[in-house]
Amino acid sequence: MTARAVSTVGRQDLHLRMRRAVGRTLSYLLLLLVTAIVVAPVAWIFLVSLRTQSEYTSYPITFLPTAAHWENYFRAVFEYDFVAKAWNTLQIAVPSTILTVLSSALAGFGFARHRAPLRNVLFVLVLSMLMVPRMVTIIPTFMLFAKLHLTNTYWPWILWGLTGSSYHIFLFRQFFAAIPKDLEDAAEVDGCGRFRIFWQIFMPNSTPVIAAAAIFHFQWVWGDWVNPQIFLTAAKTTLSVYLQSAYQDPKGFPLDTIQLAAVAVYILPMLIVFFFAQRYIIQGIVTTGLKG
Amino acid sequence: MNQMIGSGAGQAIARSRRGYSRRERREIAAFHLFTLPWLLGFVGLSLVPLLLGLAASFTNYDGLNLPTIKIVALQNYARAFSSADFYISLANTAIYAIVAVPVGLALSLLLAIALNQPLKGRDLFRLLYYIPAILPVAGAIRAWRLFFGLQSGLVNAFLSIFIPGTAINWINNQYFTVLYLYDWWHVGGGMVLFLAGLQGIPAELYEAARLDGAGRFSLFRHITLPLITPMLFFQLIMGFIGALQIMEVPILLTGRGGQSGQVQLARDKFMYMVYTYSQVFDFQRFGYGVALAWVFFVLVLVLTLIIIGSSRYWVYYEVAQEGEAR
Repeated sequence: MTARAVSTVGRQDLHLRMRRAVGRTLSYLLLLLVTAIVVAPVAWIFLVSLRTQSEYTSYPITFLPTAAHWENYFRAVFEYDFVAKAWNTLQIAVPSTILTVLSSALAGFGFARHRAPLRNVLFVLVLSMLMVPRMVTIIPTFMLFAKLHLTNTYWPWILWGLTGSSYHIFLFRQFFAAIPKDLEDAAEVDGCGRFRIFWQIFMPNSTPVIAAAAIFHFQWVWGDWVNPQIFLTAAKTTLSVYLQSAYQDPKGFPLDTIQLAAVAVYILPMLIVFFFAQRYIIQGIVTTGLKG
Repeated sequence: MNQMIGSGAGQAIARSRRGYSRRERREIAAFHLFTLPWLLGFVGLSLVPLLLGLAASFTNYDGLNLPTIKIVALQNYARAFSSADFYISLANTAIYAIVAVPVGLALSLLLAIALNQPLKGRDLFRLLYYIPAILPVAGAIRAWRLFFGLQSGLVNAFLSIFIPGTAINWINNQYFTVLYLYDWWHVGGGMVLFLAGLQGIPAELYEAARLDGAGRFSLFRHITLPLITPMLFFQLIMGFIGALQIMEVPILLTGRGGQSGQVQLARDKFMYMVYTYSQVFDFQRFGYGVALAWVFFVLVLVLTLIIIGSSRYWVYYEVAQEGEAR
């Protein structure tokens, strides 16, 4: 009797363990399949960027290059305007990031730590701007800026930066609202003004969210194609626009492999930043419930 | 509860009678100072353009004719509603978004559930899946054009292993390709969010249900799914607003988008924002373009309200208990 009971338990246990093993195997298969789908195009950029154009266009295609043509990278960067366009991109992205983070942190602090009659109404306006389709404001903004002679300058990015972005205001508000009040009270007793509390207490205690906001915004400006395409001409444009059509031989035929080398150089900084700062990025996504 | 509301109202009345204290007034002033830059931007860079656009949609503005501009009343809107391009692009966009967003959310949730188990390499998978979200669109699209290429594309080459001579024109089959790319780009971000949501579900709930003999599916159906619906709801709204606006991907995918590139897509492959973009920036039809943008805005608003209205039938809200810090 007891022996039979034990063996049934043993069989149940085995059954359970087998089911768990099958579940785990299926999970790993799914995860590996998705990994392949996600990584393949990125790996393909690097694999194609090392080939010659004729090797690339030959048919049937080969998965690995026969020899690594690293000179593609040299040519992509130095035989074309890559460096100048990268400089343009930085001239837009760096000031824009610094200004956006600062102004959004200011507004986020205002919304998180002060009571005022209009606060909730204004905060709803902040959030509702997240829902306005981009082109509804971009087209008339272009019309307006063209009349003010602000197109083909970097002023639009400065203005947008000075006034903050809804997404980042939301991010900072959520973060600041969770900071305990004791710190603030102690500083107030010591006679600190509101701005000093913001600058000397809240900001130094918010490096993770500042990092997340800065990375999100820099990454957004670096990758944005719409604004440079609309507001800038060829000489002043950024890499994202330049990369689309620059890489051709004198007869106008595309030089795909050199172009892909340029694309690889273009995306590499973002990959590196991501690997070093992923903790902050993921924290930022979770804090807002929005994907950057 | 009633008492709380009562005392709150009492306080408000008392406050309005004696006005704000010095401290309160200082706090209000500080609030307005801190939010002033945003407020200026909201008025100057959002509100003014929005209203300017609305005003321009009733004119024949083409970017240069300001001295001789004419008010054309509702002509731009009438033209949109009688244009085949308008309906085709709207239908294309709607079909694509209706498939791409729910599929993307389902995949995100599936991956989040898979990664919520104690598996080895969990953090590495999570890291890898987020890579697409950080790739700049303008760069990744170049890779995708080659990836989906007719002759030299990896996809066709891979399929040729099984079906020799496969040469599908993926780039021209924009429905599928754009839909696929949307999910490729967004599943990682959704997964990160759902994973955070899943980790917030108390383990006791599962243990209690397991003791009552609940199976895996029933745990998912009766605990995981209801508790994740608020997040699902939010993602659904933001997902639709984002997906319906798709513009760069179809434009760049066809290889236009250099400095002088006009948008040239087969008519039946237009997305709504591609159509709007092309009307404004290729043909200088500013008045008509902003009219298209405003029609879109109103449609998105209506859709959002429908989703919000439907939420009480399927979104699970935990009722805050008295005295709880929620």
